[in-house]
Amino acid sequence: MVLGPIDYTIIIVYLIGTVAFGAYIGRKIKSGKDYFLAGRSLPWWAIGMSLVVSDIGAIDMVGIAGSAYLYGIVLGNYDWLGSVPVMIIGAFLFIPMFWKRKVATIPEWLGARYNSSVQTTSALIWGIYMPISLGIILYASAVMLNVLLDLNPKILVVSDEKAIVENIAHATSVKKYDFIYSDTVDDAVQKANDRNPVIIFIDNRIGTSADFQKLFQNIPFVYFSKEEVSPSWGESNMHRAREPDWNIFYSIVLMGLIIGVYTFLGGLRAVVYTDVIQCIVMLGGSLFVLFFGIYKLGGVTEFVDIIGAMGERTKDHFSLVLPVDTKTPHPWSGILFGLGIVLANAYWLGNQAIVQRSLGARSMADAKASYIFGALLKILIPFAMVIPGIVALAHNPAIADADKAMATLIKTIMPTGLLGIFFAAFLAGLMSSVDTYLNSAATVWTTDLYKKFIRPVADDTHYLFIGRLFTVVFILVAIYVARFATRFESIYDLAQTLLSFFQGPSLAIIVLGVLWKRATGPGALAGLIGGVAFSSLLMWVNNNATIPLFQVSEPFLYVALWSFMLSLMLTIVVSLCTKQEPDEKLKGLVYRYD
Amino acid sequence: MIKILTITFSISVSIADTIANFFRGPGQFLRDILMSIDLTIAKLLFILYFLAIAYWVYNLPKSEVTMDDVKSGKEIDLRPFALFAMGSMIIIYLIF
Repeated sequence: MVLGPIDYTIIIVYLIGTVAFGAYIGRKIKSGKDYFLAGRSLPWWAIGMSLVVSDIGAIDMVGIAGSAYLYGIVLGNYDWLGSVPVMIIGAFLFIPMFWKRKVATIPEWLGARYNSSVQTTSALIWGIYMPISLGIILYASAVMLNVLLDLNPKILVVSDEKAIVENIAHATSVKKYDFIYSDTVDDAVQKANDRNPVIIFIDNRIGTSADFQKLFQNIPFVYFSKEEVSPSWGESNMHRAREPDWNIFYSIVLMGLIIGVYTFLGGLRAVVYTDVIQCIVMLGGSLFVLFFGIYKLGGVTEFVDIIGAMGERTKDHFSLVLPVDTKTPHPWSGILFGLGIVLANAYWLGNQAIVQRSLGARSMADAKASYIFGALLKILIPFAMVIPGIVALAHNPAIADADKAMATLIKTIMPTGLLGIFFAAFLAGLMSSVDTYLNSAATVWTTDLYKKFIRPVADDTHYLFIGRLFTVVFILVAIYVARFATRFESIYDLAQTLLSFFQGPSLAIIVLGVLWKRATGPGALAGLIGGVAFSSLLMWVNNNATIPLFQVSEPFLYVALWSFMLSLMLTIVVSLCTKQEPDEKLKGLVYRYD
Repeated sequence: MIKILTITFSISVSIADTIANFFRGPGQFLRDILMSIDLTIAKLLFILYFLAIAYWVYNLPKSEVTMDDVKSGKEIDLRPFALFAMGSMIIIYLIF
């Protein structure tokens, strides 16, 4: 994607505006309560928009459209089934219970409902997960940023045989889309000037080495014969590549610092109000791409006809419910039971980073209304995120890397100047996810760990100082983890797997805590630890058995479902075997028990 | 050292296989049941889930679904908005 001066102006104005707005919002912060819960002053509309935009990261903006390009509207389940019903349940049942207790975190509520051990275990799980997750979000977003802006170091291959690119990609372990191909000398000179490759591979059938020496004096090049291309050849020659002008790590540091500044200054209030702007920019930008994309196809009927005419490849592209043995990772059974019953509930009712903003609502009514408003906005999200992926397919059916579907669509349909709007939307998605986890991690560490174990009694300004200190520490940890992730790409999958380990058990003890008076502290602790252990066991067995336990490649939906069930059973059995909590303690903590 | 690692690996694989075989039977049984469900019935299950939530919302007491607007003090009923959201879900799942 090539951005013009107008695009860069839009992006710079947007970034400076966001930081300035965050700093402006932060000037009123005087205490820990202001910092962690925005002084309990947030209105429903701001929380609702913040909830929605925090759920959609930059990775989702690109990745969901890419998956929709491949699999179709089935991805819409993650917002429709995976958000709308549970947000309605949350609005009337769970959120009022949390808000009423005036807690700052979910672990704090668990401490009040059960005991201190459950609070600490839950706080440690979230407290460790969130800073690591921050780093991974930063890393994955930086990767997407570099793909969108075409910033990845490029390798130029000059050959009269295009298929050789595939062999060199395999030999050098560089992704195929980071190669530029040229079949003539003149074209190679032009592309070397335009794209600034870090190394050039020249097929000896194209010309003599001496010719190229004159042409490419500043770029290292390798003169090769087709037969010698092999992994050892690739490894030894890649050492000759010069350092790229823009490293992925620079993107990580730049984004980390921008987000860190306004979150440090403004706390939850800055996070939520910048999210409001980000929600408008993101939804506006994405819906604009959708309408413009369909308009360029000639209208909705033409769009549906083009997709329908693609035959077998797109026969399920407009189906939300796919068979159990579908070749996509989204069978209806996993979607309904794994996503609908466990992961969606765990996310919207038990994810500290999400629930925290409703705890900062100015009234219980605002807390309820924020979830309802969020649910209504969520109905729109697949139109903004999923369907553009299918529109991209209608415009460009032959994109090799699905993650480039959105970027290619935008490049195809949007004039320069409007690209900046989409790019600002991408940055909005990135910033809203990172600032949420950053502020939430600082809140858990200050409220549930520091305050509890190190300094239980102190002036509220002291906790403000500690909260800001944790914010600085965690953005540095995130940048470090992101740098680590650049060497181990599978770390992103690891983070997703870790999340599925404890989401099911966390949900089980929250649901029983709110709905069942008889659930006890020891029961919840057994359910939480037993559930996490069971998830780990399932995943270990799946990865080590000769034949994998699950028949899908990414079994996190099923792992979450089974660990939830086991956790539920363990909590019930141990609770029935232990002494019931006193009635006085349970008042206001169990549904309709005041 | 290599021998110890090889033995550890083969033991862990056989333990994993034993546990996997224990779960595989019931897992396959469940999978077979789910496979036998027609897609139309599956879609109906999604819609029944939305209907059940809509029914629950409809039957909630008024005190749990109304809010006083902070500025005007006017009473706002959240129930129609929640029912609209669930109605939209039903329509969307009927279409797609």
